[in-house]
Amino acid sequence: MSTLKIKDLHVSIGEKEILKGIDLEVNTGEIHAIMGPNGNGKSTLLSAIMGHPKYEVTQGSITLDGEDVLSMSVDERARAGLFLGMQYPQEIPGVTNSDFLKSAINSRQEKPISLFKFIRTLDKGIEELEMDPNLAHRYLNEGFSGGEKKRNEILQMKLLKPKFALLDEIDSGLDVDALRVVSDAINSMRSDDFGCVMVSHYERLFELVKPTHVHVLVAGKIVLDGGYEVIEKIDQEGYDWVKELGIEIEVEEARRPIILENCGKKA
Amino acid sequence: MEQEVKLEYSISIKDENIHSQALPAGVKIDQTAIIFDSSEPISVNINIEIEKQDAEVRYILNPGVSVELIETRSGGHGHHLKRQIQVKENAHLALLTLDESDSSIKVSDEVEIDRFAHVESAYAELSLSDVTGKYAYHLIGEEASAKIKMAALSSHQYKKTYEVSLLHSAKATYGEMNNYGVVKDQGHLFFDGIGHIEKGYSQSATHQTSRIMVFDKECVAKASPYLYIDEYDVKASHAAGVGRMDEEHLFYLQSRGMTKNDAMRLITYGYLIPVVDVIDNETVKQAFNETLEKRMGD
Repeated sequence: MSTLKIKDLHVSIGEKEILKGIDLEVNTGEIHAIMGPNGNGKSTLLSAIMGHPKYEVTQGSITLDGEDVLSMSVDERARAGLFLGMQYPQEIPGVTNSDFLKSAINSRQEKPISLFKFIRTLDKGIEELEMDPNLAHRYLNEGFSGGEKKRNEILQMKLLKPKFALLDEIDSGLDVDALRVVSDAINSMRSDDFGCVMVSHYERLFELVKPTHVHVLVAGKIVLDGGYEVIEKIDQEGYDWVKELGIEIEVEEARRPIILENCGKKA
Repeated sequence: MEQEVKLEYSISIKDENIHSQALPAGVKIDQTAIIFDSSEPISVNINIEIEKQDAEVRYILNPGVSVELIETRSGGHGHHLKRQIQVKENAHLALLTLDESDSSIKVSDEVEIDRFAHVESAYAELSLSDVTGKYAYHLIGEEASAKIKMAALSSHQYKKTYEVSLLHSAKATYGEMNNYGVVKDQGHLFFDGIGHIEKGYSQSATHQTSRIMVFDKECVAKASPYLYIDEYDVKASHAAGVGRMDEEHLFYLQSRGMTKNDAMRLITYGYLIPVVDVIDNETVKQAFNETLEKRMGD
């Protein structure tokens, strides 16, 4: 069994502190759901675990089976067994999915994967996720629909077989059928060697991929731990009840439209 | 599909004339000109050995001919190569110029494209040397079109300067250029893209994109677009940019386990590789990739 342990994690972007002391322990064999209002730190938590350079860890620790994750580079974290399924996967022109996936697989094994084995594994994944058979030759995520990008994240997860997958709103942009396909793929990974942290706003995903633990993250802190009943409560009542716990919900700043006449205005 | 590079023909330029072994059917030499004339498509790989200070080579595509040409070069350190390319009515040229030699060179291309003729020209410039390239494409006949792609890598202390121009001198002509560059160490890289639609040549379109990716602090890079439009009822666009590698791209690849160096190499490869798509040849792609990998590690 492997364990991902997060203790008193504080994370900032520039001057602004986003996470204000997160404690979370995930074992393989478990699926943890993280819910919470927009702009309260869910995606920041997953990105900080993976080591995104934008986020600065100012306090606390993350360990994977006792190893200090924070001292690892992003690629070392990946090779140690972490995987981040991104909310907005990057489009990289000129790099084919095939070249990308081969490089990713080869990065974690001494001997490069044989072409035959690679093609067989890739074709199987493509079929299982009901993806475009030409995927291998297309440029990485370029021109992909939102749903295709998310399936591609799951395909990578299946091929790279991480110990812990961190899935950030993997259900956004998916229609009902695609959500079923993606959920089946995540469920097929469930084993004593695989743990998962899933961020989502919707009960539907958690109906299909039943979490073992549920956490509510508000204002940079986990304010409630529980089981599936928490998801049902959020689905029915939203987050207003959180205020009764004496917690202020952070409201995401709405982007102000730029009014053209302001541009030329003298101060 | 694995495809072999067509038999390579060597051409040497050492005096007033071009010297060559027997060329394939449909290709003949007349003093400094290589003439293509065949009803069948011609696919040929030519290596030019430059043994003369001011070397000249002319390619002439007779009307209606279709040619796929890969040109490589050897020798010619400090020399000036002048290429003149005439693409006559309805002819089609796909040209891939591979400069992987390590000879400092100045190259001037003058390409004339006649009515309904089409040129796709790609320059893969990975050499470890100073290069000055002046590539002028002149659309002289109605509905002539040219698409130019460039992938240049400048490293160490080498200086590469390119001026690519599209001159529209007929109605309904189409020109497009995509110049992509990578500069590292203390390399210099300059792109000047020029699109010019002359008066009277309406319904023409000229588009250009120039982008340079900068790796190190001491690199020097500049991409300058110029559009000279003397006619209404035309389309014109330009985009130019110089910047560092996208941090989000690097994070994405590294989050899948690739080291920073491997991620950078893959992104650079993706950035420059579309240049060799002009001719569908797996061997050329592989060779380009190998050279690029070597250059990135230098």
